[in-house]
Amino acid sequence: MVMEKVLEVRNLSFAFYKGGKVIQALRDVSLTLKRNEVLGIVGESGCGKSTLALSILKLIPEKEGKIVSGEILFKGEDILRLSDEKLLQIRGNRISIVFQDPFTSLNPVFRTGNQIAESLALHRKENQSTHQMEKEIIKLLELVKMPKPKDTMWSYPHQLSGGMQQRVMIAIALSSNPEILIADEPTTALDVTIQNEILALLTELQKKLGLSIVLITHDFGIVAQICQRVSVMYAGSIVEEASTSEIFHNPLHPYTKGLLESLPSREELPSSPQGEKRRLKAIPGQVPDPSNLPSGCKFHPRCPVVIEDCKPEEPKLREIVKNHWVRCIRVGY
Amino acid sequence: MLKVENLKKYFPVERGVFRRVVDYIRAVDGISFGIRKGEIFALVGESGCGKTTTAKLIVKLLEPTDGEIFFHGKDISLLGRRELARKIQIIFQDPFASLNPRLTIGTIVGEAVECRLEATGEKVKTKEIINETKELLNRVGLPVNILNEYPHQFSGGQRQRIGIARALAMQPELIVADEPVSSLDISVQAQILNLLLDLRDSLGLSYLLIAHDLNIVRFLSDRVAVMYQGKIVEMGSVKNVYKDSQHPYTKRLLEAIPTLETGLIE
Repeated sequence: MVMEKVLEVRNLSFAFYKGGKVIQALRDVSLTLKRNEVLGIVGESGCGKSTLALSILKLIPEKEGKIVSGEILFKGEDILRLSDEKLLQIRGNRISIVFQDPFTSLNPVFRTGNQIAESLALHRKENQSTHQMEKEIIKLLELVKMPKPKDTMWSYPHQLSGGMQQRVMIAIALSSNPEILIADEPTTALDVTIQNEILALLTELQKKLGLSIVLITHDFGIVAQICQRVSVMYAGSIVEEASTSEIFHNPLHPYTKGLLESLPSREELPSSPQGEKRRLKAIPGQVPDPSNLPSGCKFHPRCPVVIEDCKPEEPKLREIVKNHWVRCIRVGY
Repeated sequence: MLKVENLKKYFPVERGVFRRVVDYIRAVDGISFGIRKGEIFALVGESGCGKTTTAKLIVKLLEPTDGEIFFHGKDISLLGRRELARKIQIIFQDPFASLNPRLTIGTIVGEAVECRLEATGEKVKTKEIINETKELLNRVGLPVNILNEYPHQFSGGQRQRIGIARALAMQPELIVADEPVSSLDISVQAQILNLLLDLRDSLGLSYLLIAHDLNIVRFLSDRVAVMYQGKIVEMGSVKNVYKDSQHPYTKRLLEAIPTLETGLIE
C-alpha cells in the first residue's frame, strides 16, 4: 500500500539574522510525513529542530529569519508560495502545533474554555450559539481525556496541573480538526508518569482521528515509544533517517551511535557498589555554536572515525540500506 | 557519615490581609536516611515530592521544621554556615542561574578557595589562590587560561564544570548534586556523569544525588530512596529497588520510564 504523503519538506534552508550575523539554523533539510504516521525528529538543543517546526508554519517573523531556499509541500501544494490569507487557512487549521511549555503558551487571564472557544470561532466558519459552543468545548475536553471537563472549562490555567494544561493545549490544537499535528517537545516540562499519559493520548488520538504527527524531542526513549520513523538532526541538518527499529538496532551515523551509547541503559546494572569502574561512553566536545560551524561534516571535530576527507565538504544524505538515509562519507563504502 | 532523622519541613500557607496561616504544605514529612562514605545516594521522585527541599535542608539553605541532620555524629544545626560549607557543598541544577554573570571564572572559583584558605588561620597569598584555582579547573576538565572570562562565554556543560570546581574548592566530603545534568544536552550529560564518578574515585567524595531521571540514577548511584509527597516510600540498593520494587508508586514510576528496550514498537 502506498501511503499518501501529507507533508513534504524539500531541501529547506533557514537563516536567522542576528546583529549583522547570519546564522544558518537549517541546512538542506528534507523530510516526508505520510498519512497516519508519527515521525520523530530528535536532536540536542540548538540543532534546529524547533526552528524546523516553526518554519513549517512560517511562524518566525521575517525580521528575525528567513527561509533561504527549499519547498514545503502540504498535500502537493507549496505553503511558501501561498498568500497570507491562504496560509491562514492551513496554519492552525489543517496543521496545528503544540508547544513545549503549556504554562507559557496559555493565556493566564482567560478561562480555558474561552481559549478553546477562541480557536473554535476562528477556524470554524459558521456562527455558533453559545450553547453549541459549550457542547463542542466539552466534547474536545472529553476527547483529550480531561477529568471533569465541565469544571475544567471554567477554570484558569494556573488552577490546572502541567499535564492538564498540556491536555488543554492539545484540545486547542485539535479544535480545527487538523490533519497534521506538530508537537514540539510536548512532554519535556512534565513528570515521567504524566509524560506517559500524554504520549498515550497522542497515540490514541492519532489512531482515532487519523492524524499525522511530527514529534520533536530530545529523548530517544519517547521516540522508541511512539514514532514509526525518526530523523536525527545535528547542527541544522538531518544526519540520519530511518524507521525507529532500524535506528535503534542498526544506527549508522557516528553521531547517532554516540548518542545511543551515551545513554545509561536499562541493562547496565552496576554489579558492585564500591570501587568498580562504571563509565558512560560520552561524545567528546560539545554541540557547535550555530554562528560558527565547522567546515565540511559538522560532526567531524567530535567524530571518532573522522578522516581528512570529512573536513572540506559537507557530505550528502545517501540511502545506504533501503529507506535508511545517512549523511556520512564513512558509512557504506 | 550523614544521618537524617525524621526530617520535616512545612511551608505555611497564608491567607488574607493579616497573613493568617490557614494550612501547611508538608514538603518534607518525616524522612530518615543515611549516607556512607564514598557512597552515591540518590533521592528520586517527581516534581513537588520534596527532594529539592531536602537538599536545601541538608546544606542549611532552609531551616527544618522538625527533625535532625547529623554529619559525622554532629548536629549540623549547631555548625556555622562556613563550617558546614567546608564539609558539604551543593551543585545546582541550572548552570546558567547559579554562576554570577558579573564575576570572572577566576573570582567565582577563587573566592571559594580563598574562603577555605582563610579558615586555616594563616595569611593567604594571591598566588596560592590562583594556583589552586587553576588546579581545580584542570581537575574538572577545563582549560586553565579561562580565569579572566565570564560565565556567558561558556556552554551549559562547561558551566556545570565550573560549578563543580567551585564546590570542590572547599574540599568537601559530601556533595549534594541537585539535578546536575537535567539541563544539559544528552551528549554532554554523559561527560558530566563520568566526571562525577571520576571525582568520587580520586577524592573519595560521597554524593547525595537528587534526580528525576531514573535511568541516570540507576547508572550512577549505589542506593536510592524514592520520595512521594514528602515521604520516602521505598529505599534500598539500586539493584533491589529497580529489580524488585515493592511499593506501587515505585513500580508505576519505573514503568513510566521510556526506554529503548521496552518501548520499541515494531
